[in-house]
Amino acid sequence: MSVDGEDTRWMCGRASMVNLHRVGSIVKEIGEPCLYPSPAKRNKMLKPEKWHAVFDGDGKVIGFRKALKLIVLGGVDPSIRAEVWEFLLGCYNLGSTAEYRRQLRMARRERYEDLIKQCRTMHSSVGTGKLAYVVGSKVMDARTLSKDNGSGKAVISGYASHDPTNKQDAYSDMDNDYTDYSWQKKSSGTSTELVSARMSTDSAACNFCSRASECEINELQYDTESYYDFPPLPVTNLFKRSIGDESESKKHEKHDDRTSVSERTSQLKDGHMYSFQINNNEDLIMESDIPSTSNDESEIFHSNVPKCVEGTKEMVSEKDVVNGLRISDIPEASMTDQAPTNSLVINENRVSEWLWTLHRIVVDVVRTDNHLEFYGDSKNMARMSDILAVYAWVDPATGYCQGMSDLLSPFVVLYEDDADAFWCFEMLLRRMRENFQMEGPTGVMKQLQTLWKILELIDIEMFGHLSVIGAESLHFAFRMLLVLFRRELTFDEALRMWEMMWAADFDEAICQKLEENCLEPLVLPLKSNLSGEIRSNESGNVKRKLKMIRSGRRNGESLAQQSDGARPISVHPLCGLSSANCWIENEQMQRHSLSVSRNNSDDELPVFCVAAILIINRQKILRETHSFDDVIKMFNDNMLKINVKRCIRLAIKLRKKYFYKLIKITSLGSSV
Amino acid sequence: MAYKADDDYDYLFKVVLIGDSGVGKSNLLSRFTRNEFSLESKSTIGVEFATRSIRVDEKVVKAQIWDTAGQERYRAITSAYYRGAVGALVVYDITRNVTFDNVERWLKELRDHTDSSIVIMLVGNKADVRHLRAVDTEAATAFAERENTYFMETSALESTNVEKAFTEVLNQIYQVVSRKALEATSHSTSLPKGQTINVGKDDVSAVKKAGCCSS
Repeated sequence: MSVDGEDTRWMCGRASMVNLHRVGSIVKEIGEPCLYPSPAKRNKMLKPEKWHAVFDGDGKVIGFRKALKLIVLGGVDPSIRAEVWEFLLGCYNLGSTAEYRRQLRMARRERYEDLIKQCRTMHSSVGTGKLAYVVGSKVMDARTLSKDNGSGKAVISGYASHDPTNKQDAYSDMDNDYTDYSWQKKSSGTSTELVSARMSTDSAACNFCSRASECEINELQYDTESYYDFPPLPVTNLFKRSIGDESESKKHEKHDDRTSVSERTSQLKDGHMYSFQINNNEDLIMESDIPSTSNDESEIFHSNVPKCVEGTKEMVSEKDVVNGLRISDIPEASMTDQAPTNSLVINENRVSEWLWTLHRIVVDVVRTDNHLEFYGDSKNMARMSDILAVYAWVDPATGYCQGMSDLLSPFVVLYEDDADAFWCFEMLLRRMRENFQMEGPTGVMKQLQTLWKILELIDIEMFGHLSVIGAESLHFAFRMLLVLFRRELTFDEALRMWEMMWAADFDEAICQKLEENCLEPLVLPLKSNLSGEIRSNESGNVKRKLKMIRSGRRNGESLAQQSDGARPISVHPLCGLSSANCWIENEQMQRHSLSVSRNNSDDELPVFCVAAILIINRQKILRETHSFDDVIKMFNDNMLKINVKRCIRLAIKLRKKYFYKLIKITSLGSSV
Repeated sequence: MAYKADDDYDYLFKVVLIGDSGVGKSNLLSRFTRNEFSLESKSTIGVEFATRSIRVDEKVVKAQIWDTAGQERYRAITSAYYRGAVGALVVYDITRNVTFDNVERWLKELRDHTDSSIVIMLVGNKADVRHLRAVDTEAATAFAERENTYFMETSALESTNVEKAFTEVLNQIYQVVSRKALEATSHSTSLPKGQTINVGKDDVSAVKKAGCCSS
């Protein structure tokens, strides 16, 4: 180990800067898009003017590197934050045109709405602006006494009372590029008319009807009494059987039914009516798989809540409307029963699992960032809950895990449209999924091991101290890494920290990899003419970018590197980026060989940020901690100084230093 | 590892708070250690702890109480903190049956990771939410007897029985320790488990009164 005196006591002094310069070229290869900022640029940030200047005439991003530098220096101006974040997170390919992005956004919103509808068939609260379970200031997810349940409101009347014109309005919103589309927003009005209109647009969830009627009768009552949930969960069909339901089931079953993976087809499980119920006791989830012979058989609700019987006539027209809106021009699937029985069984389990998850989600949503005025509005809590519920549904292997709501919350605040928030959140989770999976937070545990290695190389005194007091597990940093400093920083600080970290770590190659990790239900089909457009765009792109490469841009500018042997688009799911970017093979190899562990999560900035926080506070830690417990306390109680900009700056330097040393060590071992 | 804090104490007892997420573990902790209750408390990520010293039998007993994340998939991490625990409060929410049902799993895990002489108290929290009660006091009492644990219903919000629950656990630990029985693994130790509560003073009735929310 090359730990000499100078290195062991790491300070932000010049001495280490010299090292950094020496290894500058090597470090660039490691894939850092942004060099450390010069002190003179301290007060910079990405301002709107600079941001708008990075786009060319078609809306393609051509100067992202400059933007990244500014972000690393000081974050993003809040007025453009939402827009910039989508690029930072890899929601869009930098080479995409504005028109393409618009269409992609539309498609995403449509898909999200589909998913919401799917979820609504399983629990009627989803997408309504209400939480699935009552949570009061005193009562967390308390169960209901539901005194009103006995009254059994007739649902039919609720359904019949819906106003068809409202329904049309809702759809025309969707048609309109979704620009104004937001059911959530609509529903936020207190008008019961709107509420019922929105509800009536749901072709499947007849429980909705019951709720609509309740709402119309007395929304307040609905809120506070009759829908004290856990009670009778309205039983709904998971798989629509009626014609009108088709619009929902199309997306819906896609990912369970492997036969229609990338196509937006609908697989109706007509042969079975799937129903489930949660009776008054939340602990009891009962499922049943009832063979159904008739398409317009009414959906049956078991529960003490109003029985709901629904006709399907109205739905037919809805189906037509919906079909007209679809971006996909893939033919409708027939409505025959193609579902294998076992997929139904799987789905039953999934549904009951999901319902439990929904409960856990609500328990956490009501205590996530509830100091913010924004979440004083329960509709915003419901938005958070919806997004988590949808995520848990499309990613059953992850479901919901504590900590996710902390990560989602900023997106809910930042994006008016739930679909946009969902997609950013989902892109973030693609990088962090390992932290939240069932086996436990293995991703974080790996990061902690990396942190230990980092400390060993860059601050041997700290390393020694933590060893002596028995803090090798570094669990005190667990929270920081799991929810990305949300608990240690204020809301605004955390957002700045995030964007600075993302900018420093931005690497389109990684985005590319992430795209391949797209969850199946989120794979979007492309309209044929749209994909054609992209294809031609890409080839143009490729040529231009190749030219740029030849003209000698440094390879740190990874954004611009493309090969002309682009992969055929058709094999690529469109779930974030297009397949526009392909890497020159040998270049990629080079990167891999140079970066000691690019493929591990070793080089992710958050870990280095924790290291930076340790070093910034090293005197305090060395002096005041005498046991592991002391360190835990110090971290948990936020007794550490964390200046975001300083932390990021230092983290970037530490990363260079660390990799420099790692390379040195490695090269001592091998001949090169 | 020794806890070398400046303050003076005769005993340091490590106590863990476990139970499903959202049952109120963190608020029980803050109520006992800081006399605070927050409606805005966030979910616990990882582990946290707080301390408070109380006097038992002329001795200063410092309680170091560890609060853990309740979600299943974090148990791999949080169970690491069971090590060295001499007391545990297994918390459920009286308004949610499922949290009570899961107590059995928590107990099993606890017993897998700790010494058998650990003092365990079953705690039904949120007792203030009377109209939404889902778990009968009697059922919980019976369960506690079966499982050989203490039992108490608490309300962190109204500050009911919180102090009592913790001090009872600490007292019992002290009894065990002072009898040098901590290492004893035999179930036949004189540890007076099994009763609903056995504080030795007037607490039996007090607990029962607090436990049922008819008042």
